[in-house]
Parts: sequence; C-alpha cells; structure tokens
Amino acid sequence: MSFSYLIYLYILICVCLIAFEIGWLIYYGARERLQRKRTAQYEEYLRQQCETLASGGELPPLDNRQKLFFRNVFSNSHKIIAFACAFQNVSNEYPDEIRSAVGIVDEEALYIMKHVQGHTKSASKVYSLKLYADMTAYTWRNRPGRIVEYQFAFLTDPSVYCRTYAMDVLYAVGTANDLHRAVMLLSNKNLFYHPKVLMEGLMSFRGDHRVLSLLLIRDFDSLSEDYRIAVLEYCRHRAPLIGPFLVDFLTGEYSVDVKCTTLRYFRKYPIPEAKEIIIDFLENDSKYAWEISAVAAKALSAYPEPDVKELLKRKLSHPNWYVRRNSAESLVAIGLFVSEKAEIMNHSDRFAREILEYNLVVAEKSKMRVGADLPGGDVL
Amino acid sequence: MSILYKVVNALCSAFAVYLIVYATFLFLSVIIGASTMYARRRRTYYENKLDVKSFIPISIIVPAYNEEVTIIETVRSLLALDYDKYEIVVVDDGSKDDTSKVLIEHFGMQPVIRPIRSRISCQPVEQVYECYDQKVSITLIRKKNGGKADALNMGINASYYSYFICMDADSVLQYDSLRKIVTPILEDDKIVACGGAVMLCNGVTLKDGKVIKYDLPKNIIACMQAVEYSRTFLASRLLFDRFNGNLIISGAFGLFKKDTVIAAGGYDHDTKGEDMELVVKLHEFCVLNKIEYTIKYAPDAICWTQAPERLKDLRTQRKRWHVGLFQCMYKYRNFFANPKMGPVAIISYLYFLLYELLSPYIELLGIVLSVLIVVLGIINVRFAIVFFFVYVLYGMILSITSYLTTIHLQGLHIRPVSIFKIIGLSLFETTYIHFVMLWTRATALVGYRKNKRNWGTIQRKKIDNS
Repeated sequence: MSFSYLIYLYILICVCLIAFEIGWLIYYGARERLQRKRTAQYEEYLRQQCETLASGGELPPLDNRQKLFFRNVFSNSHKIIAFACAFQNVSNEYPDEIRSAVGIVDEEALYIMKHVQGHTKSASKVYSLKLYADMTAYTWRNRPGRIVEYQFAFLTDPSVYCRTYAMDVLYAVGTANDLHRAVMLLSNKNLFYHPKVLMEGLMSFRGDHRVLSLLLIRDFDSLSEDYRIAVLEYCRHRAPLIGPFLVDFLTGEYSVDVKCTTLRYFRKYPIPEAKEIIIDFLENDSKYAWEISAVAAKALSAYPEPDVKELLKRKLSHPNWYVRRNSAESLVAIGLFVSEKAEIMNHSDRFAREILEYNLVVAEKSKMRVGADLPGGDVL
Repeated sequence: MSILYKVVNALCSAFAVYLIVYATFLFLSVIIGASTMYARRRRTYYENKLDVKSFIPISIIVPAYNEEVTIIETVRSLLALDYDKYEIVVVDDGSKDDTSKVLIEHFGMQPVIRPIRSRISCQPVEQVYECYDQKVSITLIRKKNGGKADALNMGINASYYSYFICMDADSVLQYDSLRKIVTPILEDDKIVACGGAVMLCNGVTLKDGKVIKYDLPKNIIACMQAVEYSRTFLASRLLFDRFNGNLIISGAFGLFKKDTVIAAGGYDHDTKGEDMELVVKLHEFCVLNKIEYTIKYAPDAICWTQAPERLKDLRTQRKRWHVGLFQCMYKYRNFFANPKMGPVAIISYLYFLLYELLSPYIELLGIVLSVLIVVLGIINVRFAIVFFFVYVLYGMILSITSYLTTIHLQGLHIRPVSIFKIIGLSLFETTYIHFVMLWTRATALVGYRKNKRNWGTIQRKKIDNS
C-alpha cells in the first residue's frame, strides 16, 4: 500500500479519536446536568412529603400519579441513582420522616420487585435492590410477607453486589428459616460469595442467632467448603452455646480449614468434650496436618490446666516454626510462674528461649492480648 | 537512488503501520478506560456494600533506603488509614542516613528479639524494633543492604497476614486506599494481585491521607508527569485489566497474596524492575501450575507519590525503568507470541515489546525516515507538516482529556486557568520532552553491564501531609 494512504489512515484514526473524546465530554456533561436536575426534582418531592409528616400531617394513600412516579423511578438505573441521591440528601434533614414518606403499599412494592427482576442489566438490579433495601427495611420489618420471596430470585444473579443486596434484605426482615434457605441455595448453586462477606452478613441478622446457627450446622455436610468456613466463623461470633454440636467436626472427615476454624471456635468457647481431642492434635501431631497442630497449640490457651501447660512447654522445641510460636503464645496467655520462666530461659533450645522471651515482651508492652482473635483462615 | 527510494518507502510504510496500530490501540484503550471509569463512578453513588467490618487483614511493607526525609510522613499517613486490621512493616535496607533513628525516636520503638522465619532468602537481620502504642503495630527491621527486592522479601518473611501491600517509602496512601484495593478480592476469590493508581503529590496538600487542596505542580517537569501518569493509567491499564493482561503493578502501591508470591519465589534481586518482574512471574507461575488466577487493577485506590522535579532526576528514573523493562522482557522471553501463556503473552507482552521497550529505537528511526522522505520528495513539505500537526494534536488531546477525566472521576478540582497550563504542557511534552525521553530511553542500555545494579539517586522532598 502506498505510504501516503497509510498516513491518511493514521490521520483518520487520530481524527476519530479526537471526535470521540470531544463527543464523550459533551455527552458526559449533558448527562451529569440531567442527573442533577432529576435529583433536584426528586428531592423537592421527598421534602414536601417529609415536611407534611414533620408538621403532624398525614400522607394520603398513593394515587395513580404517585404509583406511576415510583414505577418510573425504578424503570431506569440513572433515575434510580438520582432518586437514591435525593433520598440520601433528604434523609439527612428528616431522618425520622423519610421512610414513612416513601412507604409503598404492598401491591406497589411487589410490582416494582417484579419489574426489577426483569431488568436485563445487573447494574440496574443492584441499584434497585440497594435503594429498595434502604427504603423499605423499616416498612417491612414487621410484615415481610412476599417481599422476602422475591429476594431468592436475585440470589442467583451473576452480580455479587446483587446477591449481597438481596441477602441484606433477608438479614433485615427475613427469619432464620429464610436465611438458612438462602445460604443453602447459594452453596448448592456454587455461587462465589466471599466467606467474610457472608460471615459479616449473617452476624448482622436481626433474628434469633441460636436458631439460625443450629439450622446451618444441621445441614453443614451439604454446604460447600467456603460456606462451611463462613458458617463456622459466624458461629464463633454469634453462637456461644453450640459447642457440643461442633465436636464431630474435629474428629470427622473434614478438611484442614474446617478443623482449624472449629479449633478457633473452641479457643473462644472452650468445652470439656473438646479438650482431649485438641490435646491429641498437638501431642500426636505426626498424624495430622501441621496447620491443625499449630492452631491446636493456640486453642489450648483456653484450657489453663497443668497437663496442657506441660504439653505446651514440650512443644516449644517442635520442628515446626508455627507450632513453636503458637505454643509460646499460649503459654504466655495461660501464665507462667517465675520458676517456669526461668526453666525455659535455661532451655538448651535457642529458639524456645527467643520465642518465649519475645512473647513475654509483647504481652507486657502490647495493648492487645497475646493470642488475640485472628481473622479466619490464618493459621498463624 | 531508486533502490534507496524503495527502501525508504518500505520502511516508512512499516513505520506508518506501526503508528496506525498504536493509534488504534490507544483509541480502544481510551474508549474502554473511559467507560470503565464512568461505570465505576456510577457505582460510587452507592455505599459499597462489600465494605465489611472485619476487613481482610493486610501487612503493609515499606522498604526504605536513605529515606529519613520522608519516612515519618509515610508512616504517619499509614496510621491514618481508614481500615481496621493491618500492620506496618518498615524494612530499613542498610541506610547510610538516619532512616531508622528518626523512626525509633518519633514512634518510641523498642528493640525486640523477634524470630523471623525466612520463607524467601534475603540478607540477614541486624535488629528488629516494635511499637505497641499506635493504632496498629509497627515493626522496623534493620538489615544488611541487599536492594529493594531483598527488603521486600524480608518484609514478606516478617509479615503476619495473608495479604501484603508493597509501597514506596516516599509515597502516601490515600485514607480509603486499603478499602478500595481490597474490594476486588471480595468480588473474586481468584485474585492474586491487585494494583492501585499512582498520582503525583507535587503541588497537593494532604492531611492524614485526605486531599485538602489539589493543584497542578508548580514545577514544569513534575506537572508534565502528572499529565503523563493519567494518560498511562487511563489508556493502557484499564484495557489490559479486561483480559487479565496487566504486566505491571506499580511498585508504589500493589496488593499481593502472600502464599502465591512465596510459592513463585518472591521478588527477584537481579532486576531493577522488580515490580514488573514479580507480576510477570506470577502470570508464569499460575499458568504453568494451572492455577486459576486474576491480576486486577483498582483505579480508585490512590497512592500519592513524588515525581522528580529536575530533568536530570527524571532521566535517571526513566533510564532505570527502561533497564528494568529490558531485564524483565529478556528474562521472560518465553512469553513472546506463546499461545500457551494466554492473552497476556500474545497481546500484553507484544505491546510492551514493541511500544515500550523498542519504541525509542523505532521512533528515532521514524524521525530519520521523516526527514528522508521529505528530502527524497516521497511526500511534500506541506503534507509532512499536516502529518506532524495531527500527530501533535492527537497526543495533546489524549493527554488533556485523560488528565481531566482522571481528575473529575477522582472528585478533584482544578482552577479553570490550569486548563490553559495543561494545554501548554501537553504541547511542551509532545514536542520537546517526549523527544528528550526518547533519547534517554534509547541510550538507557548503554553501559548496561557495568551499571545494571546501580539505581542512581533522586532528590527527595518532604511530603506535605500535616
């Protein structure tokens, strides 16, 4: 091809890019101005409603015009964003009145939910759900009804945000049975849900944690690995009395991560039935993965008994670095007599001396308790 | 003469194709970059619901060598981060100044005998200090000098948590940067590394990691770099992010999964571009071991860093970057057009080879050819001027719009008069600095064998973060 034609082609591409950049800026600017105008209109509407309520008046039932208004808001993601901004701004001024101001009757809310389900773009669903969760958690808390059912359709959406927001609605207004069903659905569909996000969400559940934790533990074997970890971590934070139901996880055919997470549970809520098993993990460590022995060493800090102390002292010389370190931390947490400290400081193992001395210094100087609660999944 | 004519014509055509491919790439990048940033901005209207309270714990590793001027502000900015669970590990790589001393005195650090397990080999520890009075624990490790990569490896060995961030000692993390850089991990469990965006703090007033006042740097060299950084991040990183093809995570701010980095061998001592080398290594390690992985980019996780303000320092920096790029590209030459390594080899590696490593030589050749084609009459002078004008205008528009888009999407504001400054700067950059840097990069490999481990020195200034 002639060199000149190639240069013309290059010039053409450059001109297209320049045109695109300029066009984009104009489009973006126009869009932003439209959004600001929409937000201002919605703010005015919400403010009028709130002022009526604040002055002691009552809002009449939604008429057709208002129903159309709400349906219009939820039909388009840009409008949803504008409404959400307006909602946020007005809720800062009228925190008590705002949710009543947007209280939507049953049929209307269900209509909107049906419509949102039909949005092809996950982004629209996400924004709709978030707005809906914010607006209606107050309205629906005492009469969740069919609104809860609609969340299950969103749980299988590819967008993790959509799933998260659906779960948020369930945490706020669902029952323990609803949440149990939701977790089983997510697990069976093999949908990625970060264990920390799930754990945090379950912790924010407003219903009976004991009932929920027992339901989840009952069907523990049906859960996938990530969900098992999340459920155990949740139990560690919200279910102090279900220890007896978890002992089998230490002895059964479960993964290293499940056993380590269970050990962390027993470190926080020690029960006598678990003690011998944990001691066995550390005493006969050759039979188990090193991670289990290391976490067992840490878990034994919850059992401040003489036989445990002696075992931990012996394990200060263990070949595994983490077992030694955790044994030292547990010994310091349990507490050592001056004579015991002296005995270890005269030990022939240099590492045993160093690791214990380090932990004693940290315990003395640090504001944190040695052996403090570590995030789930960490062995250290 | 006709043979010369034909040769020059053929070379010019090849050079024109080279320019066309690059222009097309930039065009695609800008479209994708702009739409990605726009979508992200829409999402920021809502509170991030993956912003969990029990955060993913992170170890922040700060390798330091002769950083007594900036290290206190850097650590103070880390203490002001809006995040619950993290630790700070500063590794003093045998500094000849008072880097350790200023830290020990300022934070009241105490010497401890702390055993550190060497999962990656590095130079021995001289002393460990710890501090327990701050919001999070701060560990200072003094070690024998071994280079930045060695210091990072020591930091990895000493770190407590499963994820670590590497950053530069002359940088300041924005207060919300940890939350922003961790978000992709909550969305996708396959992420092994995530890069943040680097912006220049020259001319910016920060307080506890928050931008109080933003303005273009007064210094023209720093100002030009501010525009250049925006163009690079918006134009290429976001595009590569789409197909898991990012070959670089800036050494100033990157989040990594510790176990994967250790399994891959940690940072390499033998290269000046250790940040790029690690990322390419992670690509290779995961592909060869059939590990499902993603390397992501979080454009709203911001790290503020200093840009060199003297041309001499800028040239030193760019020479080092080019040598690092060469070392990395050479070390991983098995990536070249290798379909087994995936799109990262076919697209990203090829792009970096042609448009980063070899571009100074190709562009210099292009300049020579441009003169020749006018002399030989292949094109007339007027056409050559039009071409040069379009070339300059294209570069300017790209720089200006990238910078303004980045500023707007980060929620920053500049004075209207600064826009004229940016227009003037982009013209200055496209017509002068670009060619200075071209020559700098083209000569970067001269004396390579003798200087391959020498980093050079760059003048540092105290960051305004009070």
